[in-house]
Amino acid sequence: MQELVEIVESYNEYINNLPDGLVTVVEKLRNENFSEALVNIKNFSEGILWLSQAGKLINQNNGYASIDVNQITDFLLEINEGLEMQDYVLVADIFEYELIPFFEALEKAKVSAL
Amino acid sequence: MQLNVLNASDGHKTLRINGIFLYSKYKPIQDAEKWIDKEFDDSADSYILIGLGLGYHLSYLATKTRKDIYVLYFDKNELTIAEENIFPCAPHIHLVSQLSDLHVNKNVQVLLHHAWVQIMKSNTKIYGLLDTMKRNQISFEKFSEKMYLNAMENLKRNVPHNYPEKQSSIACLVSSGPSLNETIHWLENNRDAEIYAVGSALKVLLNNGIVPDAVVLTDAQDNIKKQLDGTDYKGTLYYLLTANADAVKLHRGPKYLLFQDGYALAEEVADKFNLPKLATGGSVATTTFSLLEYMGYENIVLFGQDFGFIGNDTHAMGSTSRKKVQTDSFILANDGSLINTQPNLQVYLRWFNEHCVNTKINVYNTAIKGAQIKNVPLINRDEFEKLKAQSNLL
Repeated sequence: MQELVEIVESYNEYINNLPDGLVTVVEKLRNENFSEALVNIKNFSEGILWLSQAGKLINQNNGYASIDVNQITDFLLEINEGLEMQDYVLVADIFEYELIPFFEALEKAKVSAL
Repeated sequence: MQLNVLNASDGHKTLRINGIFLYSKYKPIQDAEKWIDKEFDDSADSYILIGLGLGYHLSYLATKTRKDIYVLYFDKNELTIAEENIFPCAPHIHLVSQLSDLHVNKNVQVLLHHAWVQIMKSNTKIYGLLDTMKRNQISFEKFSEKMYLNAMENLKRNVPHNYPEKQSSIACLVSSGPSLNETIHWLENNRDAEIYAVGSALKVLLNNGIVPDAVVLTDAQDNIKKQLDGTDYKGTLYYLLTANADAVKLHRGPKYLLFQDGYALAEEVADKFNLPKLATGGSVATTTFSLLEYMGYENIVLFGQDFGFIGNDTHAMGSTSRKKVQTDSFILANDGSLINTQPNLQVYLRWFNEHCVNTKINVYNTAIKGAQIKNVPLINRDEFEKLKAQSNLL
């Protein structure tokens, strides 16, 4: 139980900080600071993976986490395509107009699903 | 060029060229205006806008200034689609399709959106120019405050004075590319050529018992302190006005200030002290080359000037710049093989290619596994020894 509480706390802290972090990524891309933006994007992709696993674990243990990475899969693929092409206008767009609103709207996880 | 006009989410048109978005696909006009607001320098005398697109950047720029705006467009279709969208006509707007038609004055602001660099990737000649320009702009923007603080500190501590006379007709410009591992021994027991090391090669030379006649520092960042830190090098130091002031402070030998062309404060001080304004080319090696050119050497021999590397190690063993990188760019080496490279190295190579074609100096390369440089033949150790012997006879 204590472990679940800790995971829920970490999950909530992460989704609480994520929108501001993504705003920074957008600013770096728009300001042509690509090398730092790319490091942040790499961290974000690892963060998404963790968030997805943590959400699964919370739900399996009778908690509640609403994240469904499938909802943003298309956007993540578009970011990947943009990075491959070095199309940073597109990458900044997806972060600004799709992912930030998505994470801002994400509900906090709860220890109990009830 | 493949131009695709698309509908953006906000109802305006947006543009994708060669698969790259020039504007946002959500709010293209707002995005274009934000970029102009961020870039626009009111103090410029005129403006060069690279690329026309749908005319969004131009349209907004034209509302901010009545000074001349030169727009370089790349494709006739740009004119057609811009006319269908936003296309301001005013006497101060000049559309040109050739670089040679651009009116460049000293205080012109070049507005180059980074998307154009990627868009023009398949046009080798234009791409090289745009890539170099953009990288220099980004670098300048990133370090401009630090450069200014360094300049103030360096001027406070040291008075500019004339450079010493050269003592040989041959200068060896020693950079720290991996080929230096193989050629460094050519410089042992050297008495005939003068050795100029870039900062990152200093410790490599000292570790091999070679003391260069001069070392050159140009970078503004703090991390170049390690190039001098912990050495007892007391030879000559040449340093750019904007070079890291704390690194310069570490040096205990004679010091000479260098002034870069195109940096207003440096030009002002250079004029005051009747010293040259050097083309920096964005790197310490290119700056050093300009210095050697000014000093009047007849022969310059390049060591460790590789612009690339085999495997993942970017620099020679012991270099303060050595790191491991992954890259998917390749370039032709002097031995005909392909070596790994990075975009910034290609910028410097382009500079050398342009300068070595036009220079009156005989320039030689020693990096068999380094990139080919136009008009710069590869020499082996015997030829290097002969060159030194010949210079002694003259």
